[in-house]
Amino acid sequence: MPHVRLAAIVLMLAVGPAWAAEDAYQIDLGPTARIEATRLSTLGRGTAEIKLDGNKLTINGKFRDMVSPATDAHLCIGYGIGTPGTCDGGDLTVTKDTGGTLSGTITLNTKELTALPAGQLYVQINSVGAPAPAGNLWGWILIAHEIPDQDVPQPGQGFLPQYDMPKSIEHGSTHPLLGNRNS
Amino acid sequence: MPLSLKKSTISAAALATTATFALWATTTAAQNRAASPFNAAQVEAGRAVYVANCQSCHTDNLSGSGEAVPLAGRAFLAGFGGKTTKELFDTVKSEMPLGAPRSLSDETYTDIVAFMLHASGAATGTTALTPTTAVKINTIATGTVPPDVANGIKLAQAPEGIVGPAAGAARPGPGGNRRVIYGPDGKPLPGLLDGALGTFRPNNNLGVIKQGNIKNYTPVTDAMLASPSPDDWLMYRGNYAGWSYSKLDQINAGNVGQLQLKWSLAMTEGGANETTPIIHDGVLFLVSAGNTVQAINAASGEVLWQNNIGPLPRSPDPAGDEATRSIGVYNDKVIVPTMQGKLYGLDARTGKVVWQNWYSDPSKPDEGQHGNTGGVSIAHGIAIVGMVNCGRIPQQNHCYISAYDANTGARLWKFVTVALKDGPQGDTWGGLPDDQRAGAETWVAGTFDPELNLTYWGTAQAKPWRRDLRGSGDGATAYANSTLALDVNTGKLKWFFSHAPGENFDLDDVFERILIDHGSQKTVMATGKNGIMWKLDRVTGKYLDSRQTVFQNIFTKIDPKTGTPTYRKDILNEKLDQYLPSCPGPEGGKNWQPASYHQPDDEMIIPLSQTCVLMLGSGTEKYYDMPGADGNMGRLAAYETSSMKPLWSLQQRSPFLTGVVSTAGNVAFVGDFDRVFHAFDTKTGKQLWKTRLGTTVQGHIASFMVDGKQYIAVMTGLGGGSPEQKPTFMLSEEVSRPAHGTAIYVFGLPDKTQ
Repeated sequence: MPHVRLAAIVLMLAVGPAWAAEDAYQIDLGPTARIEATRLSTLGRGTAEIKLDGNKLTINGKFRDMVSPATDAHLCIGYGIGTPGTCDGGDLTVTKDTGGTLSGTITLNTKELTALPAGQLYVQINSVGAPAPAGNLWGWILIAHEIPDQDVPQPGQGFLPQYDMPKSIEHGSTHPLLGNRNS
Repeated sequence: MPLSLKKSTISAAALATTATFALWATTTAAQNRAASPFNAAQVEAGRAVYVANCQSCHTDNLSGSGEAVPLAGRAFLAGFGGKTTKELFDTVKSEMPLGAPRSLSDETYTDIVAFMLHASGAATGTTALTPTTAVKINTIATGTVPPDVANGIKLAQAPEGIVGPAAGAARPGPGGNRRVIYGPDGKPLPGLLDGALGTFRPNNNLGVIKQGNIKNYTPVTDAMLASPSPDDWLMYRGNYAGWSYSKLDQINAGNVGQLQLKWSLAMTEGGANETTPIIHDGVLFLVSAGNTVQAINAASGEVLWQNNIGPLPRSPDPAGDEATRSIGVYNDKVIVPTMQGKLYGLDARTGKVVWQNWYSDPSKPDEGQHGNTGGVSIAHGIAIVGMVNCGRIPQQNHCYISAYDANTGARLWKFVTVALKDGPQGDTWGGLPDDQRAGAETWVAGTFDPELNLTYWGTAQAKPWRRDLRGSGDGATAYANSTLALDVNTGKLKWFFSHAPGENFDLDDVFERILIDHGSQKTVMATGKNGIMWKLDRVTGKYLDSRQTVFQNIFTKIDPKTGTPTYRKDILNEKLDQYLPSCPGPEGGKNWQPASYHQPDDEMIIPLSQTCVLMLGSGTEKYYDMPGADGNMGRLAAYETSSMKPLWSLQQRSPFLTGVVSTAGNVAFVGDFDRVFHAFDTKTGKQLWKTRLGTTVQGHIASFMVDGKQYIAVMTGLGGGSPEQKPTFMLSEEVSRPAHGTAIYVFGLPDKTQ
């Protein structure tokens, strides 16, 4: 029996948790946390698509409108959506300009594989004018969602991520914050 | 013009202040701290500069208030103790004055830093601080605030030559008289500021400056208030239940695209504009900065009478003075709460003052000097007002809700919104003495159930909002961040429900309470800054349901039976020197802009905002985009209230800064930061019409009818704190919005279609 259990663990580590691979993800990049002194040096936006193949996380995206050239980009891990942490999850390739592409494939460890569907992983791009640790752009890896145009209504709540479960309410989450609405 | 100070002209009175702390300084010096790199002249110069530029937000003892961070004591050292004096200098210079950083001379910034160091217990030395002096702050400052600061800074005479930053650089900030302009005689120059805005000349006469007599005015009765004519807009948010809904349908989803401007009127500049037009019998009553009250022909825009109650606005800065969000009408009176602690009853026909009374009398120790931005609600002839600016520590006089005879102004009762140590719920503040229990302001006037004879109010969070700084432990800090149900006749508390026990992030649950019946079930609904929409039984206060309306990462769950939220673990284990993320941030997922209850479809339409912050123990905030919002700060979302089911939602870059008003014509009106006034279809959220106005569309909307024609009134203006201040920070390079332009606009259909 121990061998069976070990084999199951090895298999899981090789392909990643099934529930992590089932969902499609994306990143919406925006300015990192700013104060008045850094407000004008941390502009820019971007998007990226995420592909998870086993424990291989591939990121392909674009960014634009930064005020100084990008220098480096990294996979980071916090403890929930919108909670920044440390950026030692692996390096990404980034165009050394104020706009360009972001790409890379990172092999996730067990902790990161668990962190992905829990909304704990994010990407940070640093720039000449907004270097690490604060950085220039960041974006959490969220469940794939539509980005509607300005003032175009969406049915229901549209996309509304939840702190520890990056599936929107419209995607069927049963998060306890829903209270007894369904009871 | 840069702020400057001639040290040689520092008054004798100011120097005398030095002597008052000399003994203390000597004592402190004996505490084996390192020699301080600043001198007494810098402290005094910095003190004067502080009074002129910083005090109104950061308070006269540097303890901070609202979003103005503490600049002295333990809280200050928590954030800056490990930094050097040079880093402090760089921070102050790069961030202050608000809206005009780097606008002062290096000499002035070093003076301010010297004064801040003194205020945190650093002993005065003999050498002069320079911009490059780099001494670790916690090696010279003790965190003990000296008496000359702790007891409130006092300047016997304003120093000469102090002027504010360039007027053209002025930008809205938190409320209060942030900037005082001094003349050569050392006296303030209210209402005069040279610069890019031109010479500021407010209405310079007080009293009834436009005489009038509305002879056909019909007194407003209890019956009218209980069941308002659709032609009128008799109160803040339209009816007792706070629906912000109009039964008029002449303007509807099919023809709203034809709306056109009927008239507009510039309002008094020099203060925040968040007000509500009140309409009765074709007369529109309006309050603006300087407590300017006007009666206006609602169809033509002609001013019928005007009373400048005063005091005059002190500068053109829209953050210069806060103002109330609503006046009220009862019988033949217009009821006006002011920021200066007074409640007025004006003759509705002439505008003359009939009665006046203090709701917060500065001469009474148990009342103090508080203000009102929340407006007034009137129930059965009783005018009920709340109170703001109760965050200062120590707090000798706590916030309260108080009631007055609307005919005479006589006070009837008051209810203190902070549970005192020896009273009910007194054990919810972790044993803090009464003078350390602050906050629980009431920013928005309550609603009223005439059958239950209860008035419903929300309260703000306890202060300081960080629980570690507050010292209240895990206590719920009653009656902060709660819904209160008070008996209208006695002010006695019927029940309360704490939405965020022991709140930590400046996330008030203080806004409008909306009363909705579902069959026999009577509910009260509210949405707070955390973006949680709550439903309570308004008879008992029992929790019924809740719904997340924007992304939030404060609570990990809400108990489905009790409604008690569970905080994120790191919030409970916070450290003073640690940045904590908060989504939403203090701008709030929801703020004072009220939702509309579109009764025909049981639909709540809520104006929401989407930003996050990293917040340091000292209160320093770093702003960032809300994950999942794609940079959109504005969100409008509709919910069916019986099921809490989301119906539709939309997003845009700029946040919405008016309340929503919906009509029986199935149109929802709302205005935004970027000067756009919108009309949306209540059933689908589809945009039906929009137009651009003079500056930010901000305040409350009203729908009314005169001579068979329906009109929609809306305000423009600035000022008013977080909802306007945060987008100013985030969007100032994208959005062009003049720093003036306070006005009312009234729209209607072309005559031929009516």
